[in-house]
Amino acid sequence: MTQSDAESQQFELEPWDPEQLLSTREPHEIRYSMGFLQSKPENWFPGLGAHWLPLAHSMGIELKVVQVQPTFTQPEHDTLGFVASVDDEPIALVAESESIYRFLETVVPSARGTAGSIVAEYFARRFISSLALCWSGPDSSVVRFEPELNPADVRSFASILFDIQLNGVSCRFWLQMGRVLVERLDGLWRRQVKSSTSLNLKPAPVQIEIAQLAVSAHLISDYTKPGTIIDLEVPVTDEVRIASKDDMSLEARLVNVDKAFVLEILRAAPVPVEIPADSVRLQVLLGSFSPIGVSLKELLSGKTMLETGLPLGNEVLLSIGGETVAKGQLSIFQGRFAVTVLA
Amino acid sequence: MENLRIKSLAPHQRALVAIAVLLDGHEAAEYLQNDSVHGNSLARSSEELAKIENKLRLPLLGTFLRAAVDEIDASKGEES
Repeated sequence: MTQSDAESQQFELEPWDPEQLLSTREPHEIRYSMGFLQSKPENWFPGLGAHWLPLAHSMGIELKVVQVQPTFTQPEHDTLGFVASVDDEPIALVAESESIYRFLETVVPSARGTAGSIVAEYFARRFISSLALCWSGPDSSVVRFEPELNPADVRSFASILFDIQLNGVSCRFWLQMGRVLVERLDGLWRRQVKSSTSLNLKPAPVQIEIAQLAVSAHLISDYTKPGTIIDLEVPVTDEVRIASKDDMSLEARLVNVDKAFVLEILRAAPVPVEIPADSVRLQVLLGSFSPIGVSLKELLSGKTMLETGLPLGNEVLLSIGGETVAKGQLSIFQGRFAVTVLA
Repeated sequence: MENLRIKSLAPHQRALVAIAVLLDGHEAAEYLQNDSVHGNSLARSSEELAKIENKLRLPLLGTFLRAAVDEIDASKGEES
């Protein structure tokens, strides 16, 4: 639907402000979004269950692993922990005090005070040792328990969160690690994904599409006339479609990283609907960019993020068959996207 | 029994070895040996204890553990 200049006076258009409307992410979340943050650490420790299940069974404890999640979040409350090192880089196994209390209440209900803290320390040592013994990655490492270091001495860059249940009681602990180890795990995961997948995407331009319309061929000039307001008839959203000329078509969420558009990949996009024979497909594009060194499988492996290099803004391109036919400003009209065609 | 290595350890390490062997028996050494400072002594002490006959081992470990915890608590009391 389009509106002429005169009629547009009645429209109450509000500019689409990506800085206000998009969620923000930190630059390091992009950097590790295809490696460390996507990784499934449990895959690297295939025999871990054999170290823990017999002990849990002998103690009459049902052990359930709810979640193992690489993360940049840290515990929110007071923590207790123990320090180890991987190839001389300190790591820390920490848990919130309340979680340690619940753990000890379940595992050794009678252990209090000193006895409880020693039991906790032994389980921490046991956990770190069992990780070292089960490691199945390509490079071996020297893992040591460091009794003379304090968790506060560890420069934690990221963590792996372990969320477990013991007899239904929830306990969470974080394996905090420094940048060197995070880099190693990030690279390892990316190499493993790439070794089992297709080649990187061709460095061809990828379009970021806000919406597309089927427009009767004889109305094209109306749609591209400066001052025209086009109601895109889609609700305002942060989701877009990205597509290249060859075969890639994905749905993604726009996020704001340092005032630039970044795409958080969500899923493969459905095939666009056919348009009537007497119509053309008018695309409303935020712009285009060329992803480098990324494979499609990596993109689809989770909430991976792609930098676009496009600064935040609300200028869009109207495109037909790959040709830009006009520029516009993206706005909001009654909760829907609208475009004002610019001169 | 007189010359058990565990007796030469500090109270904290004694308590640790006792708990380790109580829970993991012969495998305790595997989990203790990577201590960057006391790895050898912890592992050897636990190996030695794990070899003791079960019937004797469990009460002995209980005794070591209680004594070590009491010593730690007493030293904390003195410090405060």
